[in-house]
Amino acid sequence: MVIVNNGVNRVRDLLYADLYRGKLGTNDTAPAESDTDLVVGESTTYLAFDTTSYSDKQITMNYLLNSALGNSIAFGGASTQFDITNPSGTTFRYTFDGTGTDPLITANRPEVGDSMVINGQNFNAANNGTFVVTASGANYFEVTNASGVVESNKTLGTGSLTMIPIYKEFGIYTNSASPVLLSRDTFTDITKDATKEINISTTIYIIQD
Amino acid sequence: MDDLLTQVAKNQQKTNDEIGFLSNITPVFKIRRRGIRLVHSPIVVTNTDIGDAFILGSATNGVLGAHNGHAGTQVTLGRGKIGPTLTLAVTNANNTYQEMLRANTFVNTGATTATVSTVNHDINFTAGQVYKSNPIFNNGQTIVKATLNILASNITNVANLRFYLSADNGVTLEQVTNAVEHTFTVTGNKLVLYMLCTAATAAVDIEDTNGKSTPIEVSYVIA
Repeated sequence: MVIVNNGVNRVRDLLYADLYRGKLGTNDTAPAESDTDLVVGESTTYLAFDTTSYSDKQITMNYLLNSALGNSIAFGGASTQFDITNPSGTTFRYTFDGTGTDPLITANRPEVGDSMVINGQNFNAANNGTFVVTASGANYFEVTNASGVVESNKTLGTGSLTMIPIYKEFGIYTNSASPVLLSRDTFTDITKDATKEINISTTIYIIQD
Repeated sequence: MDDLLTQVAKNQQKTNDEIGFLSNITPVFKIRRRGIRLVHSPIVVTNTDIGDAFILGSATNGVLGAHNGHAGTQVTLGRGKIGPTLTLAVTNANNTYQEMLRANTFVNTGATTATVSTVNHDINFTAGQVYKSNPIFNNGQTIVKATLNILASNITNVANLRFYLSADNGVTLEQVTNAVEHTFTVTGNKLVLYMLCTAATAAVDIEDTNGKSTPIEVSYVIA
């Protein structure tokens, strides 16, 4: 039996029509065939491909995260309440105490190395600023701040808590009606800020075995 | 009426009785299987500095006519003043690069003198000609070993070809043997493939006459 070129390109056409979006994430766990989604995907980066094209037995995709997107991932809201403690030395821990909007902090989000931009309206001014995360876990993250101040039950109010992410994974999704992860790739830390746009390009070949 | 199996058994018995012993050789039918598979080329991550391009709402690039705190010049509408693009990463699934010869994306066109055909999916060399790739892996990680794999039947005049790999972006080319793992003397973080034709002609053709593709593969080990 021979699978003919027209047949292979028909498979290509089906896949091409089914391509949906790309998304960046912040976890570099090695990709596995059993993956069903990014480990820690960022919803603000879940975007349609900037361009897609196809030619003989291949599909090329370009994903663009422009300079305005994906720079500051918001955690919680005005009612989100923190306790700020001093576990040791100059290490300060920001713990969501269960009151208000859950900021959904985990050991993976933020991760060590990410930067947190802390601007709590009701925080002591010394606890605000941009800090690199040194540890994180369920409902808390830690930073180094020689000027930190211990305080409890402080809401973000009109301020904000955002993360400058370090992207480490990229996913390609198909099927807009019920999105399915087609592939997941990881790479070394890509820091995104408002002066940069990130482009990711790749090609999928449909070949005969 | 006997069922089918019973009929077959009776017929077999009849054959044995009339012709002699039954062969104990089990017939094997060779089935030629063909399939298709998806090959995911490397993902290439680049970033582009916004430079002096106007970005609505940007603190530094959002004021037309004003000096740009980022680059120190006036901001300009459109992408004409956008900054340089840098390649940040090139990564492969399973730490294996597969060259399909269907695009020139990873061909170092400035250094390659051999003829690369993305239509016929082959590389043709004459004496002294070379093929050099762009970095096929570049992720800030140290490459310590690598293996080049080209299907032997896809190479014409293999005695005329020398294969090299470089872990330092082509600065140090280390000769390798096809299908034999190579430990780099000079490690680095940008993997490059290099081939040299030493005499007459040689070729690498990754697609056979039946359309079956066996890509050039370079697998690597990172520290």
